[in-house]
Amino acid sequence: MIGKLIKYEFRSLWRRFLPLWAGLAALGLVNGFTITHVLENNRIEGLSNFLLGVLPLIMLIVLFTVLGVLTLVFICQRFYQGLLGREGYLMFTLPVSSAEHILAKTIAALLLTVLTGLAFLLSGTLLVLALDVKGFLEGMRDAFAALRQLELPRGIGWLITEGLVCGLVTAASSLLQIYAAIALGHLASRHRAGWSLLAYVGISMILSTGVFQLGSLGMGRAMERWLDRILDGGVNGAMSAMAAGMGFMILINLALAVVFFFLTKIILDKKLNLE
Amino acid sequence: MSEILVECRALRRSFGSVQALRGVDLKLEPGKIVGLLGPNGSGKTTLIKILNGLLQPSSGEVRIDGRAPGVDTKELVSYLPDREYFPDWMRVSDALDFFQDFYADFDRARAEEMCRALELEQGRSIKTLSKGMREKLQLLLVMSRQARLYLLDEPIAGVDPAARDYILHTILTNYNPQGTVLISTHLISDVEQVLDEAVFLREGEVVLHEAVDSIRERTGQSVDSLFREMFRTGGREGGERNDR
Repeated sequence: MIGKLIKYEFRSLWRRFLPLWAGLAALGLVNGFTITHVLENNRIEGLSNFLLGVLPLIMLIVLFTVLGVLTLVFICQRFYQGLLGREGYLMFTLPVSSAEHILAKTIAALLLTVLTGLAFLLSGTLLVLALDVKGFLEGMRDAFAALRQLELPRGIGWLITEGLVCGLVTAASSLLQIYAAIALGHLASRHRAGWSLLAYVGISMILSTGVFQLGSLGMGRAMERWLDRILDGGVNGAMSAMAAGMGFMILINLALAVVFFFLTKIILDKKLNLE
Repeated sequence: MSEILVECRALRRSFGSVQALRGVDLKLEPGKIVGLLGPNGSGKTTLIKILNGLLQPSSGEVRIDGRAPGVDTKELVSYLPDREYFPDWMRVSDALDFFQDFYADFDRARAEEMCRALELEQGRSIKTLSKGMREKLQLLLVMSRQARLYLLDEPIAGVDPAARDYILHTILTNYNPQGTVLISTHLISDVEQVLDEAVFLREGEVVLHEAVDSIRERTGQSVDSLFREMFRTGGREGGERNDR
């Protein structure tokens, strides 16, 4: 059922995000050409050159920002409207558990974040490609050749994999914190968005206090030793320290994700308060 | 028939200091069309929400086919809420796909046939449909399931007489005869003709649960007349004043 829920999450976002992703890629390409033109003419004076050289760049930066904000707003909106607004009457009468609803929203939001990140990357790549195709391709070729010749330390693959897992778990924990805050906020009869924001700030403050408490419990000294290993332990020492650090981050975020998940689940199961 | 499809025992639900349900005891058998009748604020929607798991009771017990409301019972229940619930991005075909994907008992061919009868194009965006058409789409989807229990919350409130006829006709010609239909309404004269049983709810309590034929035989009056008589006192039932 989770797969089906994710399918409908994506049907709801395609029409909104595909044009934005495509626009971002196109603007990246356009900027590559316009910047090349301005650089070749060696000046940006005059209205036509300003329009050609600066305006597309401003548009690209604005679209970057808008897409980032829109992704976050969409993630919050899909959880609130999709489960706790009028759509909740449809979703919570499906033969689907609340745990499946929360997981589907989290996975869909993670995928959306990754896709938006890829759209940023594509836009940047197209910009560089349009600036100098030959130089870009040569640069890529040289980089890959250098990578092949480089003697990579053992265990680098594991470290990269651990890094990816750490990123995913941290992102999932952040998303689940947002969902828990929205679920808490929906318990109010009025001003639910405001209460959700307050709940989010409250949870963040509790987490910050927790970090300070860890510091006072001797984690500060452990951090110092950890940094020493990274800086003075050679490649192997640094790699094992980074692996340990990321392992710790994964565990902490996994624990937080579990807490936020069950907090949200309990509220949806026991205290659902649809509009 | 002794089999019980729905059973509520001492069911209570409070919202702060307001008691919406005050110890409801109710048993419904399969194969009946039951009217859940009461003025506005009598607890009809609260009871229906508890039956389909959207609300938890404060105390008491609910059983649907012997099980507490949950994922299993949601497979048996087809629910029409008193509001529109489709997201804005959906087209008619998306709504059909959605029901087909999630409900094993959904009869797509029947739903498509009803769409054709209403001249409802599958490519149309739901948000561009008129309010009446959106309500009809929800109803036809809910009634295209071969459910054990249909919970229809105020399906005829706020619609014109022609639409009421369409809605009642759709319910009567499409429900699973082995299932039970629970229709909540305060517009009794419109639904009385289709009911097997009537449940009167007043201020969160069941004050009458009886077969419609038995009511007519025992009191010599229609369900509508009896309802007006029972709920006349005090003038508390604001929703009924329009009907008098």
